[in-house]
Amino acid sequence: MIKRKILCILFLGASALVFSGCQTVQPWEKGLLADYTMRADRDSMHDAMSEHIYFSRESSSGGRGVGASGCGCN
Amino acid sequence: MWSVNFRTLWFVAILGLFTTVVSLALEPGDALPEWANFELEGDVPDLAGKVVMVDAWASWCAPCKASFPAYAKLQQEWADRGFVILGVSVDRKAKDYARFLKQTPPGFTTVRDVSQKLAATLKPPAMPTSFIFGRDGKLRKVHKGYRGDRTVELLRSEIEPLLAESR
Repeated sequence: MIKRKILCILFLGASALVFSGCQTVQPWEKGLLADYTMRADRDSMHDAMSEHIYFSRESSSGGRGVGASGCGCN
Repeated sequence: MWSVNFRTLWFVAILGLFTTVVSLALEPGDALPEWANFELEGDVPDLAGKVVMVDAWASWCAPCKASFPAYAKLQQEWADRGFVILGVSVDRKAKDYARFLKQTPPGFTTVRDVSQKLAATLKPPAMPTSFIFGRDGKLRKVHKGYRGDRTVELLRSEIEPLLAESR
């Protein structure tokens, strides 16, 4: 009985730790997500090089289009 | 005796783990916030007896910036009839806020919600969000986002009747 009680408490403790890690970012807290440095296309040179590597390896290109920066503004 | 208490504890704990904390946003009928309860940078003008649009915005929010000229025009047009727009910036950094205001003066009064406690009270569902309060200080409408002329027309159709109300 005592062993079961300890197991239950351990399970509850572990669950509390896991679930307390879930956090929703509110719309007014998305300033960092909207920052320029979060943009996938912020470095055109890097994009060109990545595209070249991708083309060389896969013999295809394109399909990289992603809209917005993740700020949830729209 | 122990087993009953332990079962109760177990039930409450499990319920607590799977229960989402629901914190409700302002709803129509709720009163204007008590500004003194929040840490605001800038002065809130006298809003008593006026139709007030509280606009939650941020310097990093492009649609907020796009909305300013149209909102400033509304403010200018209806100022004599007792319409006030109060911008509430949720910028965390004072320098971002100051730089933005210098580059893009909004055309209406704005304050910065320093600790974001006002934002946590208003709970704007998107950026920007406009909260429209009647002359009685009660919330009438909430507008999520800014969609150009469509939003402005909607605001016009909703604010006009509020301006016509007596104090």
